Amino acid sequence: MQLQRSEIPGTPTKVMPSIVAGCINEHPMSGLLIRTVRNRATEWQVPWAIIYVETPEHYELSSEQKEDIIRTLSRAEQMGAQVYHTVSPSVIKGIQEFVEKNAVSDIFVGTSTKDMIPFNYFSVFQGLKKYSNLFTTHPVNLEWRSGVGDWRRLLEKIKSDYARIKWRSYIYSTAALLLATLLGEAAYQTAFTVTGHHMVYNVSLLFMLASIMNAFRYGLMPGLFSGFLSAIMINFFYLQPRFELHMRNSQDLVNLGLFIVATVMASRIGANSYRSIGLSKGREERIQTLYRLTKILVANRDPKELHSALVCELDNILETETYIFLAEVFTDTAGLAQIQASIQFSEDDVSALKYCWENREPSGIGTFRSSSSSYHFEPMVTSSGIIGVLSVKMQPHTRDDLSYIRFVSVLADQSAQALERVKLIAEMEEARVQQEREKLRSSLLSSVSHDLKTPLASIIGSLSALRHMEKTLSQEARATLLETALDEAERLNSFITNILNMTRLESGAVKLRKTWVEPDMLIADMLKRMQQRMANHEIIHLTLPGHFQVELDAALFELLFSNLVDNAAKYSPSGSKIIVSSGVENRANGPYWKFMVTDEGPGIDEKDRDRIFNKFTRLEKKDSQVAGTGLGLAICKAVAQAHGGDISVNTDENGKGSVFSATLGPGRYMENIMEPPTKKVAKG
Amino acid sequence: MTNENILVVDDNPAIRTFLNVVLKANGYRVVEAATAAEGLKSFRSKHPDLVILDLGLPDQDGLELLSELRMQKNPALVIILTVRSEPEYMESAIAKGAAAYITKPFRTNELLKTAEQLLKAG
Repeated sequence: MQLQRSEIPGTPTKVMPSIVAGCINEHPMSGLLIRTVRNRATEWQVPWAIIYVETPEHYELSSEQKEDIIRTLSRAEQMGAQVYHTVSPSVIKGIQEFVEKNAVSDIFVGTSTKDMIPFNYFSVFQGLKKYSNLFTTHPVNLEWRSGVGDWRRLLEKIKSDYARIKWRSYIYSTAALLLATLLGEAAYQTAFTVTGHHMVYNVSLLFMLASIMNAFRYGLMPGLFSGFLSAIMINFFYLQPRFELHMRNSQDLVNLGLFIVATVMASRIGANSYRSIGLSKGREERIQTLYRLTKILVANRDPKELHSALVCELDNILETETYIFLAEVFTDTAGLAQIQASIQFSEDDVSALKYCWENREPSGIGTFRSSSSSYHFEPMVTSSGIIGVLSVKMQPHTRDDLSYIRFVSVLADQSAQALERVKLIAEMEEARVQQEREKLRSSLLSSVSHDLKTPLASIIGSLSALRHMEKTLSQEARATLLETALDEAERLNSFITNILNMTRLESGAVKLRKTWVEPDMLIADMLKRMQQRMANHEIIHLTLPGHFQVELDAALFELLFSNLVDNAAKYSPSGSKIIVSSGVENRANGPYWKFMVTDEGPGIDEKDRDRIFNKFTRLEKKDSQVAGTGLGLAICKAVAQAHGGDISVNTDENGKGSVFSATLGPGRYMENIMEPPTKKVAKG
Repeated sequence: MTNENILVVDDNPAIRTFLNVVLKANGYRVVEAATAAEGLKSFRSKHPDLVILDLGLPDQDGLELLSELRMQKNPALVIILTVRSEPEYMESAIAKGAAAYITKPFRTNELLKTAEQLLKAG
């Protein structure tokens, strides 16, 4: 058996799914075209698309017509169509480009009786027929259905057309022609004086120039108006017989006809190029803004920040008031009422907003829903559902701008995705933090229970022995047991006090009683008091040159200082040196007092240097050998921070031993007496 | 009066002091050790009849020391005395050959009774 290539198992043939598409225009019956395309697509079980080609004629449409197109497209989108909006010099060219980019097999276009006239240059239907090798063109007759009331619609169209005629541009155009007449008259007279002939053609060139300028400046209609008016004026003022509207010479009629044709063509070209410049400029701007927006979206990682950055940027991009309402606005019963109050939303606006949220469909201006609202609402939909609504206040010039509303929709999509991404990141982060917190909590609990139970073991043990072994215990033994119980009870008390201090410091409940002190004097005092405790170590105090003062709470500072020195003593061999030194660190807001406690202990691994200041952290099991609470360094950190400073640990220059440095301040110099560092030795 | 030798291995000085007093008052001889290394050394030199062992030792986990003590020529009777109340520690200690497992805080007579029974049986 012979296998054809496409039949070989495992090598599927690539079939591009073809789509059917309908091309709409401003025709009031465009809805019918959409439904026809949809029905055909359902019948054939293929995807369908609706395309609107924006040609220069688009700018001749009335606002109502433009809004109608926007609504029709948005309805098509809701009905499940892919909606395309392209800009092209002509409808046929636009459709051809669209077909080239998408696998379109069938195109539906609206037709009327005019399209049935053979060789009609203006018929899109006939124009598309020459592409029959690429796709099939189907006519959808929109005319016979509109029958009744057509004249009324026509009347309305005339009325609205009349209303939006820019009279001013015609007045200016007329003025320009009058000016041309004046100049023309001057040229005419001058030429006659010099040559003795009447030079009509110079004058007609002046008129043509004025007409073309009018077309460029004010668009097609004023341009055409200028052309015809020029023809009449030339005829009236310059053609023989002068100041009469009929012509003596038949050649003049031909010339005047040519003049009108040239002017009309120039006007059209002028008007088109004028628009397309504006168009491409607009597109360029939008690409730029999209790029800028993407940068913002990538830069922000915090949902709240992103939200406000987005709104701010969208305000700039869309040049109007924009709001992003997230889910909480709709889930909270008071949410909408609050919005109504703070943003001055009308009832219409709120109901449109609600509609958009509940139905995940655009509402407000440019849609069929609550189009009386002054906003356009675009749902922000992601793969996980609707996350919010983008609200854009529509300005008069954007109400009928099709590409603007499509642009808003693109921005809503982009923003939704960015918000969703950031939300996911935040949620993951939250889950991670939660897990860490849970882990910390359970380790805290076991740590606290260990620290509470150890002294309790001695207390309960001693007391129970005293109670049950009253007779067997000697006087001396009883005394030892009592003392042990008492000592341990005190240790327990200090542990609990430490925890409380810690908690209060952290929650900011401790009021600092700050006074200006010379810290080295304070340290010297404290070292004197600690002499007995530090009997096993040699303590060296290097004081600061000059008189430096710092504002601190002496009691809290003692807590910090004694904890640091105790810590150094605990973790370094007995007989070793502990160096307490101080210095000044210049920071942006003034000189800070920095003091260091250097020991000759084992030092601390770099990875543990931050962790060590956390509560209940003991680096190794052996830490429990020293009667610590795991709170000492955490308290040091809290005290330092309460004084606007910080604390860190490093290893000393030799890479052995730890250097704890705390920075407090800002402080101040009292006098500029420079003294060399003095060495005081407090030796136990 | 018995005259058995008891080794107390605990890093907490208060516990050591208190056990020392109580055990001596009950006629035992007491040897103290603050670390696992010290404990092993004392065990080898003093040959105690009973070891009271804390699990949270600074230089080595008590459970490891327990295994080592049980592998000695004359394996000791070991009472574990610790704040660790999780059942997995208790199971692990019993599996490694501990004779009893008492969690801190405890009543002195409870410890004394256990020690007495173990020594009598051993």
